[in-house]
Amino acid sequence: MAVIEVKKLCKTFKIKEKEKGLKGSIKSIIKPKYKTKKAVNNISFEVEKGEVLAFIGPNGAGKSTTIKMLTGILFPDKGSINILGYNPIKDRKKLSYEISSVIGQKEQLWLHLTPYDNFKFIGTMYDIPDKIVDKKIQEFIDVFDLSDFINTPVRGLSLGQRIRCEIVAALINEPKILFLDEPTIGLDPVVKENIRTLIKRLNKEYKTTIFLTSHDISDIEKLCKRVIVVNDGTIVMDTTMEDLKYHYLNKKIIDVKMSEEVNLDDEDGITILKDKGYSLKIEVDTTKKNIKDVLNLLNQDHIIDINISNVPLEDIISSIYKKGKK
Amino acid sequence: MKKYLYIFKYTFINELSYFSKVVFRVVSYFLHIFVFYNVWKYIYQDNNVIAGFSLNQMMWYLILAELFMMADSRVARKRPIEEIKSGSITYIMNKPYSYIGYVFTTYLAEGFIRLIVMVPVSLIFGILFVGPLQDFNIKFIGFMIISFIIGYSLNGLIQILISLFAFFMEDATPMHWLYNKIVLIFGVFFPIDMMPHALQGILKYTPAYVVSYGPTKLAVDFDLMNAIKILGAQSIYLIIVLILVNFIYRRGVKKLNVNGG
Repeated sequence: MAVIEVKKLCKTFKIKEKEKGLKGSIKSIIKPKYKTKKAVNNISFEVEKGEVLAFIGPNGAGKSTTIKMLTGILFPDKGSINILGYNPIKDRKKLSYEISSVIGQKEQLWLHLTPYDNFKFIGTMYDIPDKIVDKKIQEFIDVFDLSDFINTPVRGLSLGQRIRCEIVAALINEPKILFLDEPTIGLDPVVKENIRTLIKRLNKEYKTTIFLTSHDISDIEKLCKRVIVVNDGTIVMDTTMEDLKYHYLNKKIIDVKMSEEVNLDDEDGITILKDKGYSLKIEVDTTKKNIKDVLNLLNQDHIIDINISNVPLEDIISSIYKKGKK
Repeated sequence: MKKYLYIFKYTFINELSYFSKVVFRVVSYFLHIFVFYNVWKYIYQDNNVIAGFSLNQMMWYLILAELFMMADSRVARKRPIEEIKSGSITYIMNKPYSYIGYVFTTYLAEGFIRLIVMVPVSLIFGILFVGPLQDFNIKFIGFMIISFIIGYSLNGLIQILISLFAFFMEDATPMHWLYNKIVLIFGVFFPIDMMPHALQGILKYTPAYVVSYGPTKLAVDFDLMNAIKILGAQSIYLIIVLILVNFIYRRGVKKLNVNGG
């Protein structure tokens, strides 16, 4: 059963343009000029109940604009949206009881209140009786391990603890759909992993549909089964995680610093991106070559520093986009 | 309604963290009153009554009107502008309560915490400095309290209304500046009665009359006919401002242009 149905959605923004310098500033007061930007251009998709969907794309691709239209914040220019049977624009208030959203960089909790007081406050806003809110808070404390800081004012929490509380706060109304916009942005790897575990658990235990945007490939790899890639406001790809992994996430980048010069040439599965004698940047196609095999080609006793990373999301998307154009 | 009582309650708890700010406001309040006390004392040297106000009434007018301004919370003029400009209004809009109700309740709660401290302090200060308010009749206190509550509410709603213009223009702050100066000059520092007769007629239609002058005038020089006139004007203002706030907010939300995340 589809809980999100989007058909031919469009949104255009009017952006004020200003010429450079003092003359330009005065001109823009007298005769302002505007340009239009199609932020979302004729997109259609559906999301099934209980699905964890990654909605990814580079900056300015139209991800957040889409989320804002899905949650009833922005008015679409054209197209239709159906969220759990509601039209987000006409039924924004009714829909707000059924969904929640967490925006990575935005604080939604009151800083001088404790997480407990924040959760109680949110419970009241959603007309949930006190007894049920108390029961829910206790459940969340146990499930998401909040006991150490449940009574510490939010301003005193670490960033990771705060984001955990932000996500838990979004669950008080038992949302059927949770919109997560960059939930792990700015977090260290350990905290990121904690947040991913939390998201996985809430999808498993509460069957919550998750609509996720992230620039972190690991978030998407570890959480989602389906991926929609957007660029310039249009859907470039709508596929399964397995398919994306097989075709696009099979490459790793190895940055290595050696104490002795190394002579390594391109071969099947290995591309030398940068060679400065003592430091190398190597792209490895993991479907053809194992990381371990590549490391064996280097003299491991002479490795001073090494970093293995995924290919940046922007690169993956641009390659998908290029393929789409072909 | 329960939601807004909770917003009131939690704003109150939140504001307790900034309690030291209230103390600084009290100090600033004393300084203002002290300076004006000396100015008015000098002006009243050769007169017992100016524009119908004795020195005692004039000082109590200033004590009460200034109290009102000191309790004024910045939330109504700052928050909507900042949230509209930054786009963070979008994260409150899709919650199951009214954005306007949320800002207004926060404004009331922040004012309430200040008034709890400042009302007793200002009354003690006034009695010690100026002496008890002459001809004060306790049986009319209900009119005065209602008029003060409406005046304070109107002040918040008008400021919210001005802030909502941030939906349509780059910066609504100059409008706040103008509003604030009108209320301060004609509603606090100098009662409307002191202005030239022709100007008085115009000023009675300005927010200064319903927000500050009206309630304070009732407190220092109560007259039943005047009370009906002031409360009537406040009610009309309240209805018009509420309609405008609602209208501008609905129009603004449709026009909201929050690009990107």
